[in-house]
Order: sequence, then C-alpha cells, then structure tokens
Amino acid sequence: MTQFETVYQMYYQGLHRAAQQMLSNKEEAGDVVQEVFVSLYNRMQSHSAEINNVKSWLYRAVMNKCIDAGRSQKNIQSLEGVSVVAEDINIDDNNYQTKILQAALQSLNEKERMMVVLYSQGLSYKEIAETAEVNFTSVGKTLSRSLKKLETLLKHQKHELLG
Amino acid sequence: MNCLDEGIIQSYIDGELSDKEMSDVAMHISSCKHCLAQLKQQEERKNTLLDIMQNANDKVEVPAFNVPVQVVEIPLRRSRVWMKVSAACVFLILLLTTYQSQDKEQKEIFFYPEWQDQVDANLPITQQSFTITYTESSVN
Repeated sequence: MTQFETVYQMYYQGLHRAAQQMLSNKEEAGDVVQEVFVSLYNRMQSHSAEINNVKSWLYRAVMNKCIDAGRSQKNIQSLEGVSVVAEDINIDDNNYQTKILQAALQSLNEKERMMVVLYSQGLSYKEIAETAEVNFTSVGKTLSRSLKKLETLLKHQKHELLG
Repeated sequence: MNCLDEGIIQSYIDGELSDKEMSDVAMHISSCKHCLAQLKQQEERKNTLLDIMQNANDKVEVPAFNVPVQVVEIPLRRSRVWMKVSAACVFLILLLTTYQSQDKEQKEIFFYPEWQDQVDANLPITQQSFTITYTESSVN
C-alpha cells in the first residue's frame, strides 16, 4: 500500500463526516473530499512543497472548500436569531437527530461550526488551531462558547421540528 | 485563586493544559463548589454533543480512489540522422532554386516614342502621329 493509499484510508471517513456536518449535504461532502484527495495526490506526485502535518492539511483544505461551497449554497438561509430552515436536509433520512443537528450547526457562524466539527472529529487543540487558523490559547474558550451555543440551538431546533 | 473561566475548564476537560496548569486547576476544583459544578456541566455537555455528532451521520464506505488522468508531455525524440538528412534536403532545395534562377535569361525592354511632326499641345494625343521603337537587351 502506498503512502497516499494509507492516508486515504485513514482519513477519508473523518473528512467526509466533517464535510457533511459543514454542508448538510452528503453528495456535496463526497465531492469536496474527493477534490481534496485529488489535489493531495497531485501534490505528492509532483513532489512539490512538503506537507508538515497531513492531517491538518487535509482538514484545512476540506474546511476551506466547505466554506466556499456553503457560501454559494442557496437552499440554506440563515436568519439572524431565528432557526435555520433547510428545505432539503436529508429529506429521505428519518433520523430527526441528524436533522436537528444539521440545522443547529448551520446556525453557528463559520468559525464556530468549523471548530466544533473539528473537535468532534477528535482533533487536538493544536490541530484545531492550525486548521481553523486561530490562536492556540483561544481554542478552549471558543470551544466552550460554541458548545454552549450549540446545546441551546439543539434544544431550540428540537422544539421547532418536533413541536 | 479566583474562579476558573469556561475556557480553562474546557481545556482541563480536554487535557490540553500543561502539567502545572492541570494540577493547579485540579487543586482549585477540589476546594471550589462553583467551579466543580461548572466542570460537571461542561463535561456533560461535551459528552452529549460529541455523542450526537459522532452518531448523527450514516457510516460512509470509503470509495476506491480514482487516480486523476494526467496530461504527460512526451519529449520528442529526434534522431540525429534525420536532422542531418533534413538539413541536407533544405540545402539542396536552396541550391537548386538559386541555380534555376541563374539559368533563366532575363531581358530588359526599352520603349522610345519618336514624334513624326511637331507636337501640338492643343490637339488630343489621338490625333497626333508618332512611332514607338523598342530595344531588347539581356540583363545577365
């Protein structure tokens, strides 16, 4: 197994889950992750600048692509202080928990959402700081605030969707 | 020691503090009910949210990676013999062209008008008579 294949097998699922939580769209998440692996493959083939931390590089690339894709998404409209309504959030999925979580995550701002998603994927504070390009010392504080906000949003979304 | 802020407690829960900071926080929590309650709340929040987030999405199968098609520039392998033959052909063509152009006779023709009578400037040229003679000479 080549070095690339090892990296691909090791990180694909985590990256896909992270992209899906950022975008609320399984297919688009798959495309984003595939694009990132293609660019990693090309980079490894061309022996261009060495990547110090492959994991951080992959997550940062996926997060940046998700942010770009998310900005162009038209199906999700964020209303200030109001719950997010996404018309086609996993319409075939009966898992309400997933719907609630996706709607709540979309209510966080990009930075908060990114940090919570990375945290849920088990990245260390150092890796989160590198990926989200934030100060290492502020990770704990931002995370505690974001988790608190997400908890409140989840309760709110649960109330909205389930009545 | 003052009460701990949420960021420090979060870092403590995640084990992201230095050894000294970890022991300082542990010591404070053992003697502060408020911070202990805060710690428990944040710990519970973390566990609940991570549990939801990690179980929310369906498990994704890792698809086979399709190696991207790359356009590879194949360097042209020019044979030295063919280059020499090509150069010789170009030289021969140039030589033959020069030889042929030298072989053709080039002539120069001169026309001389000779007026029969005196020219009347008031008459149109069609009503006046003159002869044209010409000479031919080789340029080479």
